[in-house]
Formats: sequence, C-alpha cells, structure tokens
Amino acid sequence: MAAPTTPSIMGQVALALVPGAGVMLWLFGLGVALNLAAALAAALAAEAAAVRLRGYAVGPALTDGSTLVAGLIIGIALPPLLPFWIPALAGALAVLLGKQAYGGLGQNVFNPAMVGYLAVLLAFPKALALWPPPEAGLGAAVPAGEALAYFLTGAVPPVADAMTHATPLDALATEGFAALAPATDGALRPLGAAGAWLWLGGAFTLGGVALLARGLIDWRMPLGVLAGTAATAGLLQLSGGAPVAFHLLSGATLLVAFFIATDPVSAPREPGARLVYAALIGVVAMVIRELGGHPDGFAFAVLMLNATAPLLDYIARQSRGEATT
Amino acid sequence: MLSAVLTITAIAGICGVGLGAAGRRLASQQSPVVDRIDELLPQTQCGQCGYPGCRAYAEAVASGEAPVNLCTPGGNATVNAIAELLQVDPEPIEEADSGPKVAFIDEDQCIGCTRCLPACPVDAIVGAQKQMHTVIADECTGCELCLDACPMDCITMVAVEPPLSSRVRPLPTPEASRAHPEQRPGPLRHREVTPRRGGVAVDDAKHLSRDAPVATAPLPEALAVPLLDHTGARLAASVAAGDTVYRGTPITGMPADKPGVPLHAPTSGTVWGVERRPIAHPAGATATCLILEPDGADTPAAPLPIFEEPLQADPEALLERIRDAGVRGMGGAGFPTTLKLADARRSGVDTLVINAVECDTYLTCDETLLRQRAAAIVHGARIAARACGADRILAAVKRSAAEAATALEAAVEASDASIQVVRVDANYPAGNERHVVYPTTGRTVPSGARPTAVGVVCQNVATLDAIYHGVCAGEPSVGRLVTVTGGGIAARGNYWVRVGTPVAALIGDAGVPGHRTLVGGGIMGTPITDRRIPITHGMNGVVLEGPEEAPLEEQPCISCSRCAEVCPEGLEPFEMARRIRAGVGVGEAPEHVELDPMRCTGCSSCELVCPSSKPLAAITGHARDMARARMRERAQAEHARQRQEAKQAREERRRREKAEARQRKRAAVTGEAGQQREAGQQREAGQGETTEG
Repeated sequence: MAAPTTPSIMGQVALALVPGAGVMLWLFGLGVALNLAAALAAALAAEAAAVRLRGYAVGPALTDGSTLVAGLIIGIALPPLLPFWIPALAGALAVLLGKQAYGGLGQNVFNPAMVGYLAVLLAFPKALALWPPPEAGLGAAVPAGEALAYFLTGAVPPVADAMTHATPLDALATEGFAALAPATDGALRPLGAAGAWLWLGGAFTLGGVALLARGLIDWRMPLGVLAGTAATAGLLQLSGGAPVAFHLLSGATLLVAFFIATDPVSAPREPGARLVYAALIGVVAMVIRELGGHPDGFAFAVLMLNATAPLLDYIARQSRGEATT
Repeated sequence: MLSAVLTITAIAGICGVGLGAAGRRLASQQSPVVDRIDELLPQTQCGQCGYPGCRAYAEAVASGEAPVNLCTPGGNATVNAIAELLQVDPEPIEEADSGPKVAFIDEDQCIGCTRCLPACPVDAIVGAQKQMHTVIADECTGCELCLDACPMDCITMVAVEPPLSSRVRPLPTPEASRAHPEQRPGPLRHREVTPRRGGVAVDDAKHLSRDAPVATAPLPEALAVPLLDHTGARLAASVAAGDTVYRGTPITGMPADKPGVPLHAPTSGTVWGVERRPIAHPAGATATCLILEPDGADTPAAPLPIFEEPLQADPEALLERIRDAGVRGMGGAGFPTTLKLADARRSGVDTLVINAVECDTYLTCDETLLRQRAAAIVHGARIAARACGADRILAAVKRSAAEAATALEAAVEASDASIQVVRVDANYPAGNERHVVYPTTGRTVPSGARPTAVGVVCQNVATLDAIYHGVCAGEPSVGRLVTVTGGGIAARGNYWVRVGTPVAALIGDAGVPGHRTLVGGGIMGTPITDRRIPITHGMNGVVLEGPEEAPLEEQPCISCSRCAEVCPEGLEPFEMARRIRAGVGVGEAPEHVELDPMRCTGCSSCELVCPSSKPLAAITGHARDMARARMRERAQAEHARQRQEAKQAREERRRREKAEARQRKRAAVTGEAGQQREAGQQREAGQGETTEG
C-alpha cells in the first residue's frame, strides 16, 4: 500500500465513522446532522484560532484530519436534539482544552473528543439526558423543522413528550434492569437492548472491523475494552446486574472500543500496557454504569485511563527491564 | 467550624509528614552534589577558573562560592549542564569556537629550562635540563598553563583535527528541513510501503537502473583518496607530493602494531599533495585526502605474487594477502575484510554466506556484478571460506533479482564447488548481515551480537570479487561498481568507478534543484551537497532525488507506533525521538538511558513507515553520535584526572621525602650538637669536679 500519511490515516478513521453517523441520522433525524455540523465547525474554528495564536501554520493543522475525527465523535456521542451552543461548545473545548492546551496534535494526554463531551455533559446535565425515542426513517422521530427550530433557539422543544424518553441505560441507572425488560420487543428480549440500538452497535462494529483489517488500529484496544466490559458485567450480573450482552451492545461500548480507546496519542505505547489500559476502561465503565450514578461511564473511564497511560507504559518497560529511573 | 479547621489541619499535617519523609528518602538516593558537578567538569585541571583543579572548583560551586560559568575549557555545554543540575539560570560564557587545541613547543627556541614541566597538570611534557622539551599531544588537555611558564615564549597552541568519531550530526528540526530541503536526512519517499513485523515491504525502485547499460566512468582530472582507516582515524601517507605512482602502488604505510589495511593509488599519475576535502558523512565532516593527478595511461604497478592454488594455500597467507590487497567491505561499511575474516576464523565459523540481497532500494550494483562476474565471486567465496575456516558456503539472493540468481547458479554449476543458492523474500532490511543469516541458515543471531556468534560470516559479493582479484591476479582493490539512479537523473546505470573519483565526475551537474543527492541507497543514503566528495570502497550508489521522491514535510507524531512495529531491533523510535528532541538522556552512558539509542542500527525502517515523515533515523543518529562523543570525552577526562592525581601524589611524596630528609638532616645535626653539648657539659662537669676536687 502507499506510504501512509497522517491525513490519510485520519481520513480513513473518519470514513469508518460514517456508517455509525448514518445510522444515527436514520434513527434520530436531522438533529444528528446539525450536531455534527456545529461540533465540526466550532472545532475547526477553535483549531485555526489556537494554532494561529501559537504561531504555527494553520493549513497543515486543519488538514491533518484529527479535528475532523474529534468533531465526528462528539457529534455522534451527543444526544440528537440540542441547541447549537452545546455541540459547538463541546467541539471548541475538545480542541482548546483537550488538544491545543497541551501543544497540539500528538501532545495531548486526554482524548480531546471525550474532554469536550464530558465538559458539556457536566455543564448541561439536563439537556444531555434527553434522547428522543429512536425510530427508523429519517425524520420519523422528530420532524426536521422542529429539530431545526430547537437547534437554533434552544426554546422548549415542541416534542416535550418524546424528549422524556429514557435510553435503556437511563432506565438501568434509575430503575434497574427489571424495569427495562418489558419495554424491549420480543425478539431482542434475551439481549435486553432495544432494537434500534443494535443497529447502531452494528454500524460501529462495521467501521471498526474495517479499521482493523486495514491495520489502522491496534487489535488489543477493542479486544481489551470488550473483554474488560464483558468480564466486569459478568461479575456484576451475579449480584443482579444487567446481562453481559446488554452492556456490550448498548450505549458507547462499541464506539469506545473501536474509535476512542484506539486513539494512539492518549493510549499507552507498549503493547502489554495497551491491553491492560483497554481492559481497565471496560472495567471502570461497567462499575460506573452498574454501581455509579451516571447512565454511561465510558467517557469518565477513558479519561481516567488516559491519565494512567504513562504509568502503565512505565510499568511495562520496567517489567521488560528497560526502565532505569 | 471547629471540625473543619481540625480536619484541614490534620490533612495538612499528614501531607507535611509525607512530604518530609519523601524528601529525606529521595535525598539519600542522590550522590553528593560535589561529585556530580565534578563529573560534569572536563578534568583539564587547568585552574583557569581560579581554583586548583576541577575538584576544588566543584566544591566551590557546590557551596555557592563560585558562579557556574568559570570553566573555560568545558564551554557553554558544561555551564548549561551544571546550571541544569543545580536548577539555576546559566550565565553563558563567551566561547571561542575554534575546536580542540594542544600545546606545541618550538624545539629550535626551547632552551631546556624545564619550567613548563611542573606547570603541566597532567605530565604531558617530556624533557630534561638542557634538553629540548616536547608535548605528548595525546595527553595534552589544552589548558594553556604552560604558556606563561615558558621564558622563551616558544610554546604555542595549535589546533588539532578532531577525530571523525567525535563529529556529531545535527539534530534535525522542521525549520532546518524547510530551509535546506537538499540537506534533509532520511529515505526517499517510496511509492509502496507496507509495514510488517520487524521489517517493511517496500517498492524497491530497482527497475530504474537494473537493465541500464554498464559503463566505465572516465578518469577525472584529479582523484582524492580519503586517508582514513575504518575507525575514522587518520592514516599517514607514505608518498610525497611529486611522487609518481602506478595503479596499485600503496599510498599509506602499514604500522605493524595497528590492525589496518593499506590504501592504494587508484590509477597511475603524480601525487599532488594532501588537502582537506569534504567526505560523505552524516555530520558533513571533512577528511585529509591524498590528491592524485592521473596521467591517463593507467599503468599498473607490479602485481603482488599470484596464488596458483589458493584453495590449498595457508589461511594466514590468504588473510595477509587480502590485507595487502586493501580489500574492504563493499556492502557499505568499508570494514577491512581481513579483520572480519580473521575474527571469524578465531570464533570458529563453519558457514560463509554470500550476501547478494542488496536490500536497500534503488541499488543494483550487486546484482549487476553477479550477472557479470559470477565465476569470480564463486571463486572469491571459496578463497574467503578457506581463509576463515568455513566448510560450507551458502548464497542469499533476493527473489526479485531472478537473473542474478540464475547467473550465480550457473557459475556454481560450472565450478566444482557445492554452493547452495537461497532465494530470500526480502522485506527491508533483510540484507543487513544480522538478518540475512536466518532465512539462509535457519540460525537466529541474538540481539546485539554479530553473525559469528552463531558460526556464520557474511561477505558482500563485491568484496568477494575484490578478494578473487587480490589473490588470483595480485591486483589491489582500487575500484568498484556504483549505481547511479533516481528520479532526478536520466543517465541511470551502473558504472565502474575508481576510488577517489569525485561524485561530480559521475553525475556532472544533473539533478533537480532543491532536491537531494544521496550517496548510498534510497533508504540509508547520506545526503551530500558538495559534489567534490570522493567515491570510497563502501559507496554503492549515488541517488538523485526527483520531485516525486522528496520526503514530505514533517508533521506532529500521533504515536501510531508503526515505527515500533517495524523496528528490527524492537525499539520504540517515536518515543526515543520525542525524548531526544527534549534533550532527555542525550549523551549519557547507555546504562543510564531508558530506550538506548545505541541499539539502533540506523536502518531507517521506522522513517519509511512514519505517516508524519519524521526524520526518526537522523534524530536517533544524533543521540548515538552524542553518546559516542561524550563517552570519548568522559574517557579522556577520566584519563586526565588519573594523570593529575598521579602527579599530585608524586609531588606529595617528593615533598614528604624532602621534608623527611630535611628532618633527618636536622635530627642528625641537632643530634651532633647535642652530643657536643653533652660532651661539653661532661667536660664542664669534669672541670667542676676538678675544680671542686
């Protein structure tokens, strides 16, 4: 294959996110596209401004593709109906706090997309808790006009009833798995997840497998995340938690496994350390989901493990007898 | 309120105790600061700082009496190092950037007063009363203390040539690469690059020169032969300006004590003299070259005696002949072949591998040679095997060089030798002699070891050809086949070139402005900017870069770790490069550096696959050069310290002996006086008695 370049790698990662974004759009309507546009525009503008202020060339920084990927991930992770300032703030904070504050591409300790996502999750908990019910067919969940009006003004959404729909994970956090079971349709009952969420998981997996096949991501990361998630969920299931399959297929599990834990900049460098890192992301996320107060714990888990990456590397090198100090 | 105050006080107390304990524990792990400062000082013992010796200055700095910038010989590097250690702001000193100097005594003016002898802190001056004095240049630290001691002002400081091994290639920066793209180190951009574990499948670009014509390059107006041995030390010329030499006349003497091989005049002509010329070197070094003006007749010198039955000859005699014929490794290293074979013989190898893999891209000189001279190479391999004691010969040829492999098999068929030709699926760097051993013999060379560790010695095909001609025709090795290729030149091909021919004579002014000219292959080649640089034995190609082949501009590292995946030595180039650019551990001894750059072989696989086009190989190369240069400096400093301590001990002993002698004398004198006094008293007493009596 042709010699890889950073833009080509990032471009392929962005391409692999397209199926996931497409399914989101199909399930939740125009709001997803608006989120993506706002997050991307803000991220690129923040990148250009920050790089310029730091005295570097703006062109290469915008075209390296890393901001594109971060913006896409934020747009996918956020709930599909939001006033524009929330995705925009997430995109800008991802670039400014998550990346440029550390010295730009390749220097950041934390995954920029997760920094931006968590910043708005903690700042606007109410807005981010509202998901419309997924419904197949573009615009079936929320009419495009209403979505646009809410996006632009942030006024009380006209589909207030729909907005109160809880994701399976919300239900799990507030009422436990038992409350969830009757809501799921018959065919998927054994999995415990609502059917629409399965489609999303399938789309992320498709993109992730493509990246694996192209050798663009390290297989240890998805394997570690899924193994850590499954093992912890299995243990917690013994004490009355949700089934393993439910945890693997719902929420951000697959997005994190294939697209976020695999970010090489914020992950450890040593192969052994990477496996441990990815597995611990799954463990921490499951503990937060089942025992903590937040519906999904993956964003927190990723940032926590980002912070331990240098330590994991150090331990891995030391166990190989290379570290000296 | 009270509970909050109590809680915070308690937390503060716990933190304080913790910090205190940590501080005490960590402090005891550090060696005393005086020792650490002393280690950073150059140990010239010159006293230019105003303190008697480096140790005394270190003590003064540690106690805060002296500023950190008094050490003139150490220069700004030392000032910065001490400032870093003590966490103070460095105050730079004005540095006269003139390189190392040693004292030189004009012996015509020296009156033999011996005053400079005690002034020298390291005993580097020899001489006696009324005898001329001389400086032992190797021991002189350049401290200049002898200058003031000399009443005749006959001591001067002369600049000395720093050895090639102390040259450090610059740390590549994005700014420098942008400003001088023609000097940027690193591989050409290849069209197809696929990372594999421990190697790279790369589009080898050999078709550019593979079927191009083979020609003999015309003799240039002047040849420049670098007078260097394989360690980079200078060789002394054994011919003088105006001498007439013939092709094959030795031009350097062979010191019996030093292992080395002679250089030979590449053609007949007149010696013009010696001159410093740029040579192909990553740090852009120059070397003293012997300049020879060819007479055009190319008259050979009388050949060395010819071995009629080389395969029955005494191995020692063969080794001696291979040395006298000036055979050097032609795969790139230029290491004397006789030393390599002798080493192989000592370690008892059983297999000789003919290395025709030629894994660096763009090069076709080895496969061309194989197609043209397979019979000579087979014969050369049998001679080399005889010389090193190997009883089995294997040949490794790249699978893509089918014609060369067929030619070699035909030559083996025609001879009565039993040589197995192995076709190797060559990912880069399969031709590295450590990596060619496994696919050929099935033996694995341990990391950091040479093939002799598993009973194998590898020889490049061009070297074997030179061995054949040296032994069977008595002709010294004075030329080689050089590939001229790349997108920047139309006249590609392989050329027979005499050693010492300037690159300009081969490529003229061809090339694309702003793009590079490299000597060597497309991956490991060294960029050159001066086309007067002479061809040497190990120089297998000249590659002119086309616009399509120029490396891309450097981008930030995204830690994708492709470089770590492909590194044949299992290193982590991206992490090493990050640390080296931050100055962490650069120049320190390998045992103190996590991720040791000395383990890097410079194969540049990492750089080939880097999506950010980082000059990884040159960054690690810089750290290697720094480590080597600093280790050398440290060894010299340690040596100077020992000599100074020896001198101080000697002076101390002499002072003590003098003092003892004086005391003895005094004791003797006072003893005598005492006896006299006693005698006098007795006399007086006697007298008294007498008077009393």
